[in-house]
Amino acid sequence: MQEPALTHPGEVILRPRFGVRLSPVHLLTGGAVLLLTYLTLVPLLFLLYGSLTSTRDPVTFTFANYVRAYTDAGSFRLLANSMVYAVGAAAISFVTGTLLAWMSERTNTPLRGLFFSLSLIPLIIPGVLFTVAWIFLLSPKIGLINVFLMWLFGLEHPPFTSYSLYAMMWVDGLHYSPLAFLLMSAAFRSMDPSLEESALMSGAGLRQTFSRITLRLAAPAMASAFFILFVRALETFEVPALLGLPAGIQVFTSKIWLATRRYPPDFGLAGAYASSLLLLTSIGVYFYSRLTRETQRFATVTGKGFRPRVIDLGRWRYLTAAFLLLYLCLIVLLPLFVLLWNSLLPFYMPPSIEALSSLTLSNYPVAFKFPQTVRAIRNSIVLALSSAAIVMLLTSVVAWIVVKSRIRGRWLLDNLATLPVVFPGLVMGVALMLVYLTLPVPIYGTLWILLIAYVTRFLPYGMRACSASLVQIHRELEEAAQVSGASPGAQFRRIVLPLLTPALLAGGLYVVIVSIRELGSSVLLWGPGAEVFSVILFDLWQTGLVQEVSALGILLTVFLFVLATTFHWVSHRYGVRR
Amino acid sequence: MVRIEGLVKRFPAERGEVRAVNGISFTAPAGKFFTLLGPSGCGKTTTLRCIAGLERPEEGEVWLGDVLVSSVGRRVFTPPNRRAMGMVFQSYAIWPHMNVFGNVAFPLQVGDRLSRRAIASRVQDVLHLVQLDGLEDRPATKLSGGQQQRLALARALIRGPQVLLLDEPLSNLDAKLREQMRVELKMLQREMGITTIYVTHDQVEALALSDIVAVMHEGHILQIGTPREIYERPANPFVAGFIGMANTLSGRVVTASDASGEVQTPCGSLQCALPAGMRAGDEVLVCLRPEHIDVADVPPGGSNVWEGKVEQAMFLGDTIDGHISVSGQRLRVKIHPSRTLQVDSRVYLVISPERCVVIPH
Repeated sequence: MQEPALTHPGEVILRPRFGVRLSPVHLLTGGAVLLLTYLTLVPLLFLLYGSLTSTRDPVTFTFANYVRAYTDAGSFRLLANSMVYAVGAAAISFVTGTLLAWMSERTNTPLRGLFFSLSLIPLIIPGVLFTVAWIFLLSPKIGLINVFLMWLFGLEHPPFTSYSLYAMMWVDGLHYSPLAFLLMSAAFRSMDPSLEESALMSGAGLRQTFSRITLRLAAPAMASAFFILFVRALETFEVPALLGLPAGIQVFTSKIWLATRRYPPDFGLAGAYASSLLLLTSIGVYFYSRLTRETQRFATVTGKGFRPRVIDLGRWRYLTAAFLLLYLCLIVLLPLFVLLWNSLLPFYMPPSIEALSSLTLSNYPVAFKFPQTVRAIRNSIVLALSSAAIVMLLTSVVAWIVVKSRIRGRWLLDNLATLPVVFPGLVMGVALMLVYLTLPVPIYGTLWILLIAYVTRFLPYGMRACSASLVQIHRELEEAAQVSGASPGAQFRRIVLPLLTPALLAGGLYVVIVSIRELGSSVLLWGPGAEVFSVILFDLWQTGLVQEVSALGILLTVFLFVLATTFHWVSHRYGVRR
Repeated sequence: MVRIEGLVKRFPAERGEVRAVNGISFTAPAGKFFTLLGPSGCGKTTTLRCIAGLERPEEGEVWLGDVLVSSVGRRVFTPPNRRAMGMVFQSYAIWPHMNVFGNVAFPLQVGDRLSRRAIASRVQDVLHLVQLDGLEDRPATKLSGGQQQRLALARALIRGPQVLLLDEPLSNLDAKLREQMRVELKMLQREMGITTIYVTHDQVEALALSDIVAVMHEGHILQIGTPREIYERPANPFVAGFIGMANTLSGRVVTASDASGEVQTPCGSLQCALPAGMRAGDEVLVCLRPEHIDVADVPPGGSNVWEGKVEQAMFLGDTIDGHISVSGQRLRVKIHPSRTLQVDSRVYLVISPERCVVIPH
């Protein structure tokens, strides 16, 4: 055999027969594992450690925190409240969302096209504002709905109250119903109509087809949607804090909050509650992901364009249209109207001719008089932009390794990057407090700790955007570049990156929006000078500066609406091609 | 020339691993059209990807001309971007974010340092070659299937590679276009005289295009030869069954002299040409191509005549496809459409001895 001749020297890659080949990809993977471990696993360990040790010196291993948490007289009530609240809110979201999805995807209800985009508005309104708006509507003293009904029927007592378990379920359920709507629309849309048609051709009636085919096929998607809504409701802090606490109704998130508000703050107790909540959300996420896999198994047709069977409702379609309009009133028009109304009043008044004459814009400049407002706006923007940039940069590399490379153990990266899904905002807050009050890194109460919190919490969103997009980029597109003579760097720069850009932009904008809305972690981690917008709204409300909150809220909503429209435009402009 | 020596490639599977390519060797001579033919999962695409450098083999060597590009023993591995080959992928892998010009010019932009003008003129030449002139500014996603295929070919050819690798390039086209592209591809290859390695599961394609065909099955090469050899002298039952249609009958050699003998089959005895080394008593398979069986209405004289009953006759336009039952065995025949075949009628099958293919069993 002849000696190997080489076209150019240095083209040969030498590798030991045994042992590890160290390529740049390996180094990159190693770095990513370390960074993600630090971001996601370290807080989790500190949380568990903190909940299992005594807070005072000497640090000893103890179950005392859990004992204190669960021997409290109210502990059964706490668990019951949390579960009832989360199940109730999830049920309200689920039922409304599913009905709406069915109406807009599978029936000929008028206005359904318009409805789709309008119904998503609540998803961009921060929870604080939505909750505050519903206090304006349902509060026993000033609630617009109560005032109106009392006037209409001559009632002596307000029919509703905003401070009850039912109101909490209602407000939170309503706020997240668009999420259920989105999930179920996707499920209804991906259903191959020929499956139902072949049932009809086999002699099954409409009702049998619905119960034996449609419902069965949608069942995994429905169950998984319910679980994610349940986890979401467990995680919410705004509603339990603003509606529950005044009525003495406590759930896990508000308990955690109260434990950190004590003097001195009881981090052990907060850690015990947070760990319990984490366990509940993990169980929920576990069932969610199992059911999602089931859903994918049921996804009989992938990406093929077909029109789902649309049912002609006849005259009933006006009823369903009326339902859509009523829903839009409840989730968009009424809350925004009541916020706008309050932002224009010098002090609270129900709508009347008299009130109209005293409308003023003065709340808007006043809101900006507080020095922390301006600082908070600046901080929020800086934090949102930098966390979006970091999240997308990090996840584009991690997702590439997970989706495209064949490195062993890449599943570990995937799991690390999606782990924060189970962290409610407050739990992440407690965990990071425990980390940075223990480690000699003095960033507690600064923007840095907030940045770490946001980046960690929103990693999964970046992962989802990047991996969904990378999966669509056929492996052969990169290989074609490789065979064409492009180096690995040139492949990434000229092929992968341009094709990934829409996902990076869309994912980044989404992270910007959720960062600005974020309250759960921020409310525990902010400090003087490091205020953020949502925390300022929360604080101003607690202080009773109702009109200013409304004014700032309207401005924030407009700003987020512009961002979300851009997001929508970007993902449509660049996402759908290909 | 491309030479493969003892190539092995394994993939991790759910339990243990799968040997996708299990020790194969062949040489594709310079300027020839060499085809790897086999059913899906036989390892043909993996072999091609090892030649391209997209997979690292576990064992074996790959030579391009007299350059060793991949050898496990000598620890040589040239990455694909330095192998100077052109490749057309099954999906075409047309970059959707570039126009036609961008796609074709890419290999020149990332590799050799050429002036803009030189690149433009090369692109024009190669687009002319594949008949895509004037479409330079068209977005790549706005091309038809056939045009995308030509574009992929142009991109593979633009650097003037030594070797052209084609991974089922015609499988995504509809039947008519596929036939047309087949003719064009063959003409282009002959004109350019470029060594071509072609992967397909379509035996008609393989027979039509190739100078040499290698039939692969479960990671092994079963037979290498010209299309005619492969078709007329299959070396084993799999090749006989995979290429074209064949009636296979198990049998036993009764008498054997130098190159011919008599084989006893369930349908009757048969005078056959025998491969060297056959002896009386050997178990064999006899392959009879449907078009090599003659059908007569009255018994002709001579040997190799079997009597049978027509069970089914289908008029296919250019042929009649007949199912004839002979002693309980069902044989397919293919006869000229001008003849008629009456269902349930008696017929006589005539098989010429040199058309029988006998394979050791």
